[in-house]
Amino acid sequence: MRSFKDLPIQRKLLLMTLAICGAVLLSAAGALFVFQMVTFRSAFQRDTATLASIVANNSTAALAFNDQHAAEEVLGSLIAKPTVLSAALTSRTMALDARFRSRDDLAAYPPPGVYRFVGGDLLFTQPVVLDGKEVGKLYLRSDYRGGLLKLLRFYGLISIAVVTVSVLLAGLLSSRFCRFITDPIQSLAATASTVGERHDYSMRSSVANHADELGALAGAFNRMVSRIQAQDAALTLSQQKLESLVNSLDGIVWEWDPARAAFAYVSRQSERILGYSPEEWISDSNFWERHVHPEDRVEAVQRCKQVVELQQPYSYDYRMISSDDRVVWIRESGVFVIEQDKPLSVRGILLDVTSQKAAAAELNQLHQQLLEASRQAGMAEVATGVLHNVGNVLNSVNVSAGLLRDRLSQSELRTLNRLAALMSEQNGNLGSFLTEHPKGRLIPQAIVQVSGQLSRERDFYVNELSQLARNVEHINDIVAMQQSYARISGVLERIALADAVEDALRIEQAAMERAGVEVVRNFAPVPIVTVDRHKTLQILINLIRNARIAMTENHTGSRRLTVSIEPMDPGGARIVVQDTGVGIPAPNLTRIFSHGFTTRKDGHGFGLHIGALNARQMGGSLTAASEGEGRGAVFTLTLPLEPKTENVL
Amino acid sequence: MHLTRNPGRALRAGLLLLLSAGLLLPSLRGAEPRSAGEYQIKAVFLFNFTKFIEWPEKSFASTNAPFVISIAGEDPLGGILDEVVRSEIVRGRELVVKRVRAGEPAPDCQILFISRAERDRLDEWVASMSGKPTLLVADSPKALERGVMVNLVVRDSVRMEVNPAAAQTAGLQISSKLLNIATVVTPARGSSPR
Repeated sequence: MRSFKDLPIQRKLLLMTLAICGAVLLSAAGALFVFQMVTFRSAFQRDTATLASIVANNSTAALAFNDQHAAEEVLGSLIAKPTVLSAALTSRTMALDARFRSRDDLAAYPPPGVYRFVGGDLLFTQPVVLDGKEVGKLYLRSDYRGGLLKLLRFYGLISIAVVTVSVLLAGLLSSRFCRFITDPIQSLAATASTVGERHDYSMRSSVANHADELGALAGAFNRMVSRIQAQDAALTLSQQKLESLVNSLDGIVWEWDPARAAFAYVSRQSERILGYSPEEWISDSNFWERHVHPEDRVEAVQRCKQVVELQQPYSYDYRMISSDDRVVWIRESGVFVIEQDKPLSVRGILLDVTSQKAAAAELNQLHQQLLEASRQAGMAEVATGVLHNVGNVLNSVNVSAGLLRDRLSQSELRTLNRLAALMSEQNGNLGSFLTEHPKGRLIPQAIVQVSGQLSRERDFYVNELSQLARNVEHINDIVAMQQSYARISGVLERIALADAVEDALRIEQAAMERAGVEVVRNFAPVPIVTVDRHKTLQILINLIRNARIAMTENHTGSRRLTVSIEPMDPGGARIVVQDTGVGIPAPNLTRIFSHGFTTRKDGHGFGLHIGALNARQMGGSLTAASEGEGRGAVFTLTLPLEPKTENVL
Repeated sequence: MHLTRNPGRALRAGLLLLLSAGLLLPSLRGAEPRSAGEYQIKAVFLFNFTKFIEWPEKSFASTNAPFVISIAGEDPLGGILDEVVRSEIVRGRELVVKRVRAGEPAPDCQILFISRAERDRLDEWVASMSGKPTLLVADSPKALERGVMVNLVVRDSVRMEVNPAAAQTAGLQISSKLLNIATVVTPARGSSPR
């Protein structure tokens, strides 16, 4: 069952009219009814009294002349009055007792002038007065209840009939008249619903021609639709503009709805960049996750969750798989649109950074290659020094070996062999031979001489062999040192800087001795530092070599290399390599650390470059200073106690 | 309905009616002997006529003159009438009962009752009152034919016979109420008594 407010207006108006009409009529009928009820009693009493008075008046003669028959006739006329149930007439002076349908005990009747109601009947006594004297009494019994019921029935029927006819009439008229109101409203409603359903803002309501309130309403509606039409056109235009702008952007513009945990908008560029239409992207809430590169998926989803929790602008990179199975590097940036402390949406852009990533990878590879080259170059330099040193020592070893070979070839061992052969030829006559034969007698003396000779020889050999052993040990040291620096770089070790400096000097020692360079050590105590041993050594060797070369090539001044180790505040150490070489012209000071810069014929130009890079990687620095050409140079390497950052590339 | 509602009461009322009728009827039945009841009723009738009949003003000697009921000749009523009319006032006039002997001059009265005892002299009484505005009342058979205006007869009860034409001739106005309960007779020979 529909409620009243859902009924059509026409029906409402009709029902309202009927209700009003019915209510008015019913209340009028009710009032009339009540009034009739109230007045009926008194009217009935009055009627009864009047009737009684008439009958009494008519019966005076009958009573005066004691005429029973006439009295009964008079009473008989009451038959015309159906409300009278019974009547009796008695004479005061004579024995007259006329009855009309009555066998009542007249004692039950009230005294004259009093109305008595007994069981729905009205009992009334009327004195019959003749010439001012009472000659008898009239007793009337009227059917009050029957009269009342009849009246009520009558009024009820009349009321029902009147209300029915009136309501029907009102309904008929109302249904005629309410069209003047409902027709325009329906027309307006139809127009409005057409506009709403078809979004056709060119529709206008014709009700606006009316001069009444509905006309005003329709006019306002038409103006509103006009404005919506204009706004719609403007909106469409601006939307198209925005759409073309968004789609001309070299990235996928998107909007994400945190409430639904799904994408609300994805721009057309998704087709160009990834080969997926925005429709398939939006329709599947797991689309993005499914098309992230499997290796990046877990991390990307994790990051996504973090981003939602933090609600901060963000940007991060990951890979996606395009529709043709390409791997596309994506840089995702987003901001939160927050309204009333609730994230309304996340908006951002997915940029294709594949080419940037490739370029970065290429750069990285180049850098790695460069590093490798420098390392190999450094290792070559180290190896050169090592080989030189080994060569020197080998020379000594060679000399010792030649000497030993020569001395062994001239050894007194041959004399001893000859003596032994001579003694074994005697075959048991050795005693006589030693005592009788002239040669034999010389033998013991010869053995004594040979023995002394061999003792001296042994001392020489021992001496020479220990020299040889020392040299071999030296080679061993050099090889072991080379091995210790040839380890994979990038490993951090706790080292004493003085040892590193000594190692570097040792490698350059031979060359510097040849060049006549005076080495001054100025080592202050410093704490143990944690650095990459290989890189540090490489830097130091490079600095010492540069200093040596600066003092030997095109230079004639003094040749003094000062290596200082100083503690540094707040922690760490400084190694200063100072030379008295050719110095660096001021313009070159800024360029000597650039890649490929060199002033030497055979220089490759990345020694200092790599050195500076490595120093920075270890959290330190490499700087150069020079007072000018011909006035020497100072290179300062600083190293922290601990590397500040992880060694990441 | 009311008749059957209380049978006991109705029965009692009926018995009472029969009883009273039984008491009255024997005395009313026969003309002779004349019972006191009959004359009692007749006396009341005579008095009640004053209320249903109008006399012309000229029938009274003066405005203060009494209303006179005369009894002609022999008086069968005895003192009953005097009892009935004692200290009654009729239309502002004192009511007086007079008796008139036969042969006496015709009295000035409003009602003259000529009883059955005077029926032999009825014609004389009527003749003597001729032209006067006096209501002549008799209780003899066929009295109307002889010129009286009202004749009291006894049937089941005392009944009236009235000659309104005769009364009108005498200038009397008989109320329709009275005519309604009376037997109206118009004698063939008219009002002339002789």
